Amino acid sequence: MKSFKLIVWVLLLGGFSSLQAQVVAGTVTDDEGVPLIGASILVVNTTTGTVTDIDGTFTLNVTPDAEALQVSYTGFSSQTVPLTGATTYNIVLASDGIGLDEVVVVGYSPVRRKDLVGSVSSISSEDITAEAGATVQSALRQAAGVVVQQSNGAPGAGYNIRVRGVTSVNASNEPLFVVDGVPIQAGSFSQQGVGGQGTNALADINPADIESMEVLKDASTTAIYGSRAANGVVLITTKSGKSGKTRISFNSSLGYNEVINKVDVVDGPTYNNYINERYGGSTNAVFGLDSTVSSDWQELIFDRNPLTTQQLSVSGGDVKTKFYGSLGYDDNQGALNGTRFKRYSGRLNLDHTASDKLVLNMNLGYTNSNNKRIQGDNNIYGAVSAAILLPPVVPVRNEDGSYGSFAGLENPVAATEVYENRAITNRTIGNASATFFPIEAIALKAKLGVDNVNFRENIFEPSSLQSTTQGQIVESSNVRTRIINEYTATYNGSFGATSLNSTVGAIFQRDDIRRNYFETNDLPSDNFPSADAAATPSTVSGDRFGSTLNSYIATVNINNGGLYATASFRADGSSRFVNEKWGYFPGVAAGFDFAHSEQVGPFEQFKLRASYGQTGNNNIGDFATRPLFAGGASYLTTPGITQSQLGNPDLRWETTTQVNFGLDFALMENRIGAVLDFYVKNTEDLILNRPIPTSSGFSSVIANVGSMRNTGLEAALTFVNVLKNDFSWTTQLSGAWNKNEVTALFNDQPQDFGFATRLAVGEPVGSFFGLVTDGIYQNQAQIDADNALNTDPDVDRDFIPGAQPGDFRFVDQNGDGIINDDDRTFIGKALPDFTGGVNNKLSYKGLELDFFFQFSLGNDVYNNNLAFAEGLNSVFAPTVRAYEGAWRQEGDGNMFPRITGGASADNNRQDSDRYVEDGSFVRLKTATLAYGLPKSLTENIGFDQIRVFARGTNLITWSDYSWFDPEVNTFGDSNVALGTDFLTLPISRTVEFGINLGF
Amino acid sequence: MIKQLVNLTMGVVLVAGISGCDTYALDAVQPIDSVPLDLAVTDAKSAGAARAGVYDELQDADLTFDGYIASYTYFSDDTDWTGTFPTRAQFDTYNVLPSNGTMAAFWGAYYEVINTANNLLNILPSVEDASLTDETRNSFLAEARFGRAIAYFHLVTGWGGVPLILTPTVGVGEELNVPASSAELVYEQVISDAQFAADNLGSGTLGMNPEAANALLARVALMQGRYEDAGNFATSAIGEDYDLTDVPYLEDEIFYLEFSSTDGQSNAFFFGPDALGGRYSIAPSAKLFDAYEDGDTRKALSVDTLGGRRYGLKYNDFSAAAGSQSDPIYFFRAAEQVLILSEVAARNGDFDTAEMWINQVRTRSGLDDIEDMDDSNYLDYILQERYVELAMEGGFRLWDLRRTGRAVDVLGPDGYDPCDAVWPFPQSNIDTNTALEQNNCCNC
Repeated sequence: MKSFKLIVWVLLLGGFSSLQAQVVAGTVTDDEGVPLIGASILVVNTTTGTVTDIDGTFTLNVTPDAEALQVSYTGFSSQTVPLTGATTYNIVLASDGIGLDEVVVVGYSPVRRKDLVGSVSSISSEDITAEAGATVQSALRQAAGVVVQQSNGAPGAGYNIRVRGVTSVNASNEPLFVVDGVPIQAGSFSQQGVGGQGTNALADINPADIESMEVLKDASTTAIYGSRAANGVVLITTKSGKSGKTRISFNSSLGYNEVINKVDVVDGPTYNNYINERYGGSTNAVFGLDSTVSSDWQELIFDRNPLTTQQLSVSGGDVKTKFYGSLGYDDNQGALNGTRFKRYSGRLNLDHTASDKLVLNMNLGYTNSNNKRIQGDNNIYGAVSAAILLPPVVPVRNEDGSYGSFAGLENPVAATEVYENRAITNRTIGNASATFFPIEAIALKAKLGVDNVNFRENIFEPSSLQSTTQGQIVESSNVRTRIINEYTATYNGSFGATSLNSTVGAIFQRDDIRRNYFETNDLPSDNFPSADAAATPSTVSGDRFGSTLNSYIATVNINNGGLYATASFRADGSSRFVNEKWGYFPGVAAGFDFAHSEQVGPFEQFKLRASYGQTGNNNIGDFATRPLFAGGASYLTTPGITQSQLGNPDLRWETTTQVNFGLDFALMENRIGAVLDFYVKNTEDLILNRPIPTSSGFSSVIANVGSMRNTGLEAALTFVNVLKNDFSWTTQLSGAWNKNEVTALFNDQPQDFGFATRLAVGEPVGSFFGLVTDGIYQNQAQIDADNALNTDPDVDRDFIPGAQPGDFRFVDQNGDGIINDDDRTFIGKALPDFTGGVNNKLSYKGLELDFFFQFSLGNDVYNNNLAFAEGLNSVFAPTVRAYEGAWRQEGDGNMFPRITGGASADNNRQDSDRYVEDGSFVRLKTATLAYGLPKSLTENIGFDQIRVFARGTNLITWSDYSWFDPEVNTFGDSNVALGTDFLTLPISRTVEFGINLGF
Repeated sequence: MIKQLVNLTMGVVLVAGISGCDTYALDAVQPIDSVPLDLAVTDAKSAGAARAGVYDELQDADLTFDGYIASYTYFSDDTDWTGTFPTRAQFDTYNVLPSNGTMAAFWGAYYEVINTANNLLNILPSVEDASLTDETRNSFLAEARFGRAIAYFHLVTGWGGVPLILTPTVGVGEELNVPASSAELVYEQVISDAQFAADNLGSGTLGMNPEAANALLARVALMQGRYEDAGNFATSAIGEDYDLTDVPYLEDEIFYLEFSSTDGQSNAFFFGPDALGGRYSIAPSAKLFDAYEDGDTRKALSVDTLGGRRYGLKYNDFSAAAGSQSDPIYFFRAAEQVLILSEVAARNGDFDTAEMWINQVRTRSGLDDIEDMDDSNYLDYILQERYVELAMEGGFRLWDLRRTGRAVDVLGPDGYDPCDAVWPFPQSNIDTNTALEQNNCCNC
């Protein structure tokens, strides 16, 4: 992409330079006198121009009627220099306050931020790496309207990214990620369940190699990505070389992860008291467990574990050839012992201008990662699950040396020590392109993009684990190849004051995926962790699938004075659909900057924007539309086949239509900038697994039914509070309010997901549904009074069957005198109302302080942990507050029920508002303190830069949530079962110290 | 140089464009592990595979524990709920709600068996393959129909009348809205399917046999009070002059649904106490535990205690992990048929024959003969014997108490009401099947 920017500039600037009359020359430097290489110089009101060379100098032929030069450079304010008749001009550019002159990549063309009419958030490389253990996704938090949620705290764990709300139920809600113009494969490639959590396909991109990320949010910018763009598009541009001195930079950091807090679970003696109350005997008498043992499981599985990052990069080049190369090493051990993510990455980006007719470009990234995972949430073999629930009277090790366990729960220490689960990825993402200019104004480009994933998982479960008695080996592989051929033709020209840029193209994409999987059991001993030693193969499977996508695109951008207009169109044909293969996606936008030529009132920019467009979502299974019979239904040793899916040959894309209105303004010499947006997104033809009567043999069929709406407001404000030579202070505020509503479903039937999540018309996605508690019965009289409420002689039922004093009372929503399913109602919602952050950047001389507060308000968490750890009905260890607060006699309050067993305790554990907690939080997400040695000092010892820093992530969190952390989802990447916590590994706090060296 | 590069570039574009036609065509990628319906069953081999699919659906994880065993036995004095899933507890407390997800899961799993059978029944008659003899073809059809009969039998004993679906699911429109048939009609279908199976199951089946089909017919006849039929079918199932006494307990198989370590189940995991690596979700009731007479050799093969807690051990592959356990599901045993013959004889007033049959069961179990059977006590004797003989093997206890009208008397103190004769239809089906009206269950 970088090269493409250059091409456009060259095109804009290089034309018609032969009409010479006079030669002007000069240098362009920054305010410290450092030459700016590649700054563009344009004769105002012409297309004549050039770029500065390696020393920041330029020469240019100008006609006698030329009045001024427009000088611009990324990251600096453009400057208009009047031509006074002199032949030499030394131009000093000031750094750009709020970045209006930055070039952002939008779709297939670069645009100055000033000229944007769509809605785009940009994230700089500095912000991308601000977080310790950074990932591509974590940086997106900085963008207004983007909600980023890490579903658990394991390094290498997956994320949920939502750009402007949730648009889909069944297809993916993740934005499309495009690396250097190549849409890459995202999601989780794992075939191994470790609870609700998958792996993160974007962990294969080293954030340190990223120059910038752009989040395309409105439909005029996303429509050009057509059928995959309904959830927004994230464009990732990797670093490229700059002409000039070869720069070597080495960054190294070392730090640790730690768990932020722990859940207060009873110790051994208290547990023994609990069991006495529950079962009427000591743990010794009832279970044969020594009641004097007291294992603090959380203490045993969480630790301060190290992480480190090393990055070496080299960049440079001359006017014709530029390069950027890097090597990276990351080793991140999670706060939970046994979790570890290691990555080796390499990158080589080359740009070569072969002639004024031909430019060649290549970007190539390779990563090898090793993700060690352990059994997670919602799983009795999970380390955190067992650390909460396993009684403290169970010893870490029995006298015979084996791991202690109970009730089928894994020993948490064993889960972290001996369970071996590695996901190893080898991945290559790259592209090569050739651009040919038959005439200056036309660029013909051919590009080949590749995303090749070789993902392998190996699990060894020794017999010392509860999940296997004989030892088990599980191996699987997932080999995925995506090849993209892209052919585009671009025209850049201007007619008088109107400049025009237009691209047409054709893109062909093919994905091939091969997977296999096997499990074998019964190893001779734990010393033989290999598949060929196993006696009994159990599951063996393999499949192949894939898809093709053919696309044709056209875009036009027109710019005249303060008027900006853009139109785009994409036609996508996908193999995933049978009868409705083709979809058409238009986008248009227009804007006018009232302050384009001169200040209007106090405003240096006052631009109104409007856009409209359609995008699609085709993220469904490759063969999901086809009615199929599948194998794998064998009986003993006889192979079998069964009807595996109903299919739906008439399935179409989900279509999202978005309208966006925006206002951008800038004040006070570009020291204050604001971007405001209002949008309405309507998604129609929702691809739903529409429930059908299970008497058909199927529970659902895939169909286009239902619709959804997201309405929102976004604001991004930038204040350059102080901008002096030795002191600067910038504050960026972002806030987004989004309202999601399901507007139609099949026959408007609700659908249930997760533990207590219901999808229903009129409610937002991720709403919780259940009973509403109304205190605790303090005495029998209250129960008798309720039992008298039911006056229907045909219904011989108590208000709550089996209720006794100390049990929860529920609200009888329909007033029929009995509590049953009909009394359930909506009790909370997982989606936040208001999200955003405040980012402050201060620098004083060499000292820098950056800190970023993130907030999420109005979201609830369904804390299903409480059903077990505060159920007070089972052998599972209760929390201290539940045990101490348990109802024991009249007047004991309404928080916790009595300690009771058997089926009657079921009443107290029904899905209810008891488990819904406010998940709002404000977090000091990242903070960095850095000191860069003065140049005068470093240059003496041969360094361009010596900078030391300390930084932290998730430093302080303010929240009322009672469990580990409200940013959690036990259902991983589920679209609908959101905001549910069930024995999930919490995110950790990370502190890091490091050094940046530049030569 | 430039020109060459240009030519090269243009050439690449051209070649990519041409070669792209095949590689990037919208029908270039086709599935290999699944095939469209019309290619699925085309010859004897694939028909055999589709027939194996019926057994595989019978093995569904939602059926092996909850479907066949847990729900019916919790819902009686056979077993108690000792687990952690509230939806299972609802069966133990006779308080099954329409929203019960466990119930919805095994309801759906029965219909998956039915749809798999319906698919084969629909397509097999028109498959042309010279190697497919009429005998084999009919035997495959009989396996499908017997699988369907087993599924409908469980549905009708759980919910009474249910939607009776006999054609494979293809369309997803109005045809999915099927009202509940009467229980009588469902039983008629079970009988018709089982009779076809009894007549046509051949030698090449994967375990189903005519004797098992007769055993199901005898069981149904007994439930419907057609005692003479029950006697005849039972005789067909085990043969004239059958002698159980030398056959070890649980080895009197007529037809068991088999499992292996590679095609396993999890019942031992659910029954097993912690010390044996189990989840202990289910336990024999105290009443069942005490129902074994002194000296009953079946007790040690059925129930035990560990750490003061009762547990069941009819599914005892405790050493294997959940999902890899190879205990069978005891669908049809000769002892049940022997006890049917005893009951039929007693109901005819032939107490000598009745004693002869019941004492075969008792002798094998090391118990003294019953010699004082008469009109006043025969049913107590037989129900007691069936209680312990067939404990934890399925819904036998619940079915016995219901068919003899004793359910409310025996289970009432624990919460069983007359309306508990049926479970509610799953709410998901009420919501999606516009022709289905909720039945007369207690929570409906």
